[in-house]
Amino acid sequence: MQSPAMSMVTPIFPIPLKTNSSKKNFYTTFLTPHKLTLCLLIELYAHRIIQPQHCVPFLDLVLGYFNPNDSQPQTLTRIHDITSHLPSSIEEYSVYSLLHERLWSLHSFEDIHEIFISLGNYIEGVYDSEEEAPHMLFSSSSLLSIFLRKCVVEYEQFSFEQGVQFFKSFLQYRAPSMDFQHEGIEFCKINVRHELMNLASNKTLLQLAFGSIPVSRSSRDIEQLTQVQIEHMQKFGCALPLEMKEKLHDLLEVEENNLNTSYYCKFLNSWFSGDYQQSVENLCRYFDHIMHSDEKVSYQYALLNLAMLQADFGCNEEALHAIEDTINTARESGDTACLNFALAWMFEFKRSQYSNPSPEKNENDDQILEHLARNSQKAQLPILQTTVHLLQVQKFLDDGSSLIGVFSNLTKAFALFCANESFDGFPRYMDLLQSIWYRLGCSILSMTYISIYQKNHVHDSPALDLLQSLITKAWRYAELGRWLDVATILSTAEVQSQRSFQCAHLYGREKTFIYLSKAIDEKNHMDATLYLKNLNGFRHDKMSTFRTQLYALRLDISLGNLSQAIEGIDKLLEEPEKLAIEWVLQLMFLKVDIYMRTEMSNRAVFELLEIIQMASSNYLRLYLLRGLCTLCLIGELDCFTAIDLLDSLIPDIIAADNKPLLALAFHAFASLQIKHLDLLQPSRMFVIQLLDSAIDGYRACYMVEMQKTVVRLKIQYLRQINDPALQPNIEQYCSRFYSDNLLN
Amino acid sequence: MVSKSFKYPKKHKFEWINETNRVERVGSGLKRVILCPSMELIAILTCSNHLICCRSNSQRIWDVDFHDLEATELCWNHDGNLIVVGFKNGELKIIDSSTGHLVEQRPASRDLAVLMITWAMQETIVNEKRNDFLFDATAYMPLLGTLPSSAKEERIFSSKAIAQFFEPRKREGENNKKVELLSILDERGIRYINMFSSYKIGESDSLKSALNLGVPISHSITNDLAYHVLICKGGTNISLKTLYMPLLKNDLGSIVDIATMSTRMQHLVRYLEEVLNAMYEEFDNVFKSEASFIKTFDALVSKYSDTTFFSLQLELYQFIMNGIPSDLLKEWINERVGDRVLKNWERAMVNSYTSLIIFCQEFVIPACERLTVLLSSARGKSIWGHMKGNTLLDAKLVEDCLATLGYLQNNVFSFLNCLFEEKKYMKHFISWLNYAIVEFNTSEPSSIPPQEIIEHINETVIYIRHSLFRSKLTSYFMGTKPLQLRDPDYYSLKDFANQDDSNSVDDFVSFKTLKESLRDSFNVIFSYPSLTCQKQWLKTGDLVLFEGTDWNVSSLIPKSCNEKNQLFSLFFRKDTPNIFLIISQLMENTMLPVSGCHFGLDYAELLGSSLLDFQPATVLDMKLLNGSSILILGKLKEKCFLCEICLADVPLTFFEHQQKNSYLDAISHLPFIPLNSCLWLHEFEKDFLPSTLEYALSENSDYGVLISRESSRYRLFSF
Repeated sequence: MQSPAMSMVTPIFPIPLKTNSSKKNFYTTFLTPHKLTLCLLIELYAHRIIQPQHCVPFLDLVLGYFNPNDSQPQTLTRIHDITSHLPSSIEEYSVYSLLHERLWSLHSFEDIHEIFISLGNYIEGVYDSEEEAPHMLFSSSSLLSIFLRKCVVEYEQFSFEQGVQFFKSFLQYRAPSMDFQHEGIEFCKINVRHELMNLASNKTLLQLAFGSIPVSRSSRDIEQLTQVQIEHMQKFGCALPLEMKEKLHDLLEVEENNLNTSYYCKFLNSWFSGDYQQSVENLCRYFDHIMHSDEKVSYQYALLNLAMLQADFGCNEEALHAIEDTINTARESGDTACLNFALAWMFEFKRSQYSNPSPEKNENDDQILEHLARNSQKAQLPILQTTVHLLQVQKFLDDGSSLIGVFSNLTKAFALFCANESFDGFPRYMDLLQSIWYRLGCSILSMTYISIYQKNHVHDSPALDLLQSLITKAWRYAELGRWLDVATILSTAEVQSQRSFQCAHLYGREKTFIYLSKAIDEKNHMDATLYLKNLNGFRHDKMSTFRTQLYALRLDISLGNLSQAIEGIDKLLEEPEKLAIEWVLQLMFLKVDIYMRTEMSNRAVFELLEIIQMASSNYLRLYLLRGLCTLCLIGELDCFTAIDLLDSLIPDIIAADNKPLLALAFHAFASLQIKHLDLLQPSRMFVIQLLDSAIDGYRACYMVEMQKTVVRLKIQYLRQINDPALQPNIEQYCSRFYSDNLLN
Repeated sequence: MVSKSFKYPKKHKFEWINETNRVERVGSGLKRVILCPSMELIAILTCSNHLICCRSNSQRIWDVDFHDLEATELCWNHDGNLIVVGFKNGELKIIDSSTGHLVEQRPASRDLAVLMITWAMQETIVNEKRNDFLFDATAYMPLLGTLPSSAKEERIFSSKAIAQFFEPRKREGENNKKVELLSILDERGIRYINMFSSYKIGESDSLKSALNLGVPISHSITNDLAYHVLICKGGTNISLKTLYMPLLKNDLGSIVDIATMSTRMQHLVRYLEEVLNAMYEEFDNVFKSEASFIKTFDALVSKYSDTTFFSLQLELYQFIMNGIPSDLLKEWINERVGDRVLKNWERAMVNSYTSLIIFCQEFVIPACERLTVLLSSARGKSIWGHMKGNTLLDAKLVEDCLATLGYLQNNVFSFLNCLFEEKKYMKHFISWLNYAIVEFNTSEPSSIPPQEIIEHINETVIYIRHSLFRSKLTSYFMGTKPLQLRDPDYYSLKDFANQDDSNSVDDFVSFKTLKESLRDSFNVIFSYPSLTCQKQWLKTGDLVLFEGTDWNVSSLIPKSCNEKNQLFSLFFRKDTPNIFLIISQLMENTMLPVSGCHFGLDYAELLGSSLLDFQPATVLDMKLLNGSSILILGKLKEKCFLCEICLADVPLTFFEHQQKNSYLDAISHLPFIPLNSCLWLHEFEKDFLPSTLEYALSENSDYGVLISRESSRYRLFSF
């Protein structure tokens, strides 16, 4: 038989408790409980309870809703943190104390309804001019009025059920402030009506009384958040904390969500995560959804995005077709902006992925650039104008035809940045600027511009551009032999590489190239082979494909596979028009290296003369200097002519800040001095200093083979001068280098 | 009566230049007369301390009064454009010979009278082959812009002449460089040497090796400028002293190269200084515009002085948010701010912002680029020179300067960022303010502001809070943080430096600090060659030639003896017949006498004097003419004459290899030989008896001037 107590409890609670009930989201266009709280603050401000000198934090909260990039949390805790220290016009009460009292005076849906009805009274125009308002009035076009009006208009459009849902979400929003106390008195209890005594402090009873409590979200806020997320992803990739990703996913996956931008956000997320299939799917969904929603959107932009997507995943042919379709569609639609951007993008895409084998292609490129220059100026598109100038610079650099044109276009691009008072597109400009100065042998200026860019434009630069800048700097440090700094830069770049799939591939590829080059130089063939294999795991463009082949050839030469290497070089040089001039010169230097190893000096000299001519006419200063130094080293020139030539060039080589090149110059100069010792009569200290400098330079760059060559030359010189006083030094020197494994 | 004139043979012909035979008289008395070497100009220093420049026809060009300064010495430069004047107190002035204007003035390093000034020139030839692979990137860059003129200071780059400063070097002009040496001597020896051309090589002041040489009475420089040969009075003797600088002899090309670079860099530094000064002037305009705008509130603030709390930013902020201006703002809108005031303020601010942008874009950044290229080249030359043993430049100093320049470039880019932002915010503020005033004044306000106003309302608020009353640009111009180059490595700019949101002036390095640091760095760098040159002067010879200190000397190193570097010296005492000709030759870095002759003039027969009363002619003055002849102003009894003697007619006695102390005896034992032949002789009328002689040799003509100090008259002649 049941106990009497149990039988008495059961009739008191006839409604069974629900378990595992899921939360529902209540969506509005603009209004949320947080905004209702701000309206109450505006009430206090209108009644001059908030003193003028303390109203700035409060006004900033309202102002935040007019700033798309503002990301303040919409919680009562946030308001508490801001207003709890603001004194009000009522003594001993802070603004938050009064706000808290006001919040907990709302006991029912009717109370909220009354608030929204009265909000309109604070807008100027409601009262007659003869009657003085008991509170401050806001201009009808002021920001506060706009904010209030938005809230009131949306509330008035609520149905009864929506109003009740809003009230319930307000209760949820207010709940964290239950424990707030002012001078030991719990406000919530004081203000609870008699019939709800002890009810508000019990969450379980609260749930029983009102049922499930939805979480209120504003679709406008979500759309704004999504828009900000898209902008950030376009610049900085999709590197988000996992928790943030999950929340974002929850926001975008709800059934009631009809935001158009959510699909585009998913598209970007998939793209930068490296998921090609999902990227295409989300892109199609986005444009299908827009078409279905009858919003104004052009099909050409879908094609443009598709082309960019396909190009990024290596589908070059499909990308080219897509961009051509984009151009045709944009032309048919009369969309000049899209047409110009598509043409610019196609030009750059072709340059980076395809060769230009015939002069007709070059003429076509020139026509495209001229067309872009005219149209961008007519259409008043400064960003595109800048891009066109930078494309011209890139073309001049590739062709090596006009240095004046390079500087002229760079100057014009910078003038456009200044005229438009914006540095949008500046990363590309800085990259080209440092590139041209490096090319001309002024490494200091190149490094200065890299540093200026990284110091002043980091915060608003796209992640890919920033990563490229870091990698460029790493290469410069490698050429200086500063490998500790290289490691530091690469560790910084690694953080940036996590932002997107494209960044990860760029970082991995370039890091592998850097250490592959080092491994080849220090004859670490095992590591070099491993690095070369690792390169297969990364995505390559035309340049990186060539570089992979180049390093493979260098490895063959280092391994002694000279015949295989020379065949590979000749094969690549069969179509030199497909290669940039700089790449041709690199291959020719490899041939010179092979000829030197096989003691075919005449062929090497002939090749060097051709290198010198090409480098000189194309303003490739570093290659010219390298060619001249090598010619002086092996060319059997007249000693006075060679000495004078090197003497005039070495200051420029020092200015170029290239450690291997400087070591080569010292090596050549010392070699000439030693060969013609009787004729030139150099001081011993000078020659030894030259040799030591060359050895140090090669050592810093881990160029073991060249280091050995110079060491042998030094020993030869020390023995040649045949000074008895130096004999012990010679023996000591040989012993040291034997121990360093440099004399095999 | 026609004046007597004897010609023998007929190689030269004496004649007065002035056709009217007019003798010019300077009433205030003649102190010094110097002939221009390239043009027919005369510089006359009078006893009344005036410097007069005249043409050969005695037409005065200009007259400069030195007032309290007493001039003691004059010298023309080689092309006749400048006159150097030395003073008794040791000061130095360089005057433009065409206008008489002061070009440069140097204070005295010691309070001793300037006794002698020498201005020598040499042309060097650069090996053409070296230029084949040399590359000047700045030649392909657009020309630097012309600065706007300023009322506050004179700007040398504010005219179209700027092109000549920054014009790329022409190849044909690269092969020949003129190096000039200006030497100033006082009674202690060489005091100052300035080596220059169209560029500045270096200065040497108070050369230690050139001190205590005695009172110089003759100063000659060899053709390669490496040796200074002085004949000095010291104690009771006349000495021949030699100073030598190896760097000039062995590596003049390096000096020329560095000097060429330094000239271009000096121009660029000066250009940057002027640009930054212009930016400061423009910033003053910004500051004044801000002040004028704030001034519209000042009268209202005093009216509401009883208000316990007042904040202009807060008033404007509330106006933005609630659309209802306070009483103060109402009065400000109605009475103080009109359409004209607002437009004037906007125009002034926008113009200033635009000018600052242009200064950075067109002037500072391109100049910094060029300067970095040149400094990079200088760094290469200094390091390589150091390895070869030439230490004309210090690489460490160049790297410090590069770091400073990098800091300046970084500051400029940061400044542009800040400027773009502030200008954008200001435009939004103006747009909002115009709209708000219209809305407030209208009888039918709109229900919602334009979308553009709402979209940029945040920028408006930021401008009111941070820029309206104190521009963010202030920190770049008034920052007080000193420039600290902890790491002189020019790669020392830190990566990912946190953006400093503080607007305190203590956290910024101002442009002024950077400008001063840059100038100081350059002054240190390019004073280094001067210090190097100063240290390298060596005293290699000191030979006693004569006893007594009353000898007059005329010496010359003719250019025709370029390889031998021979010194021809004439020693004589005024109003005495004894003349000594000493020929010295440079051997082992020392000028050593090799031959000499002691002779007198026996012209009694030529002048018609009686043979029974034989008496050699006394010497008033004499000059060496290009190492081939001697021009002598002499006197026999009451007759005064001018004649020319060929050096080939002078019998020379060669000195045996002597010890240094033996030259005095050898010279004193030279036999007296009378000479009775000459190339030509001219006897003067009694109405004009000259006492001193000056001449000038040029390619077109040879001419001289005869000066009568007693009668303060002079007369030009040619021969």
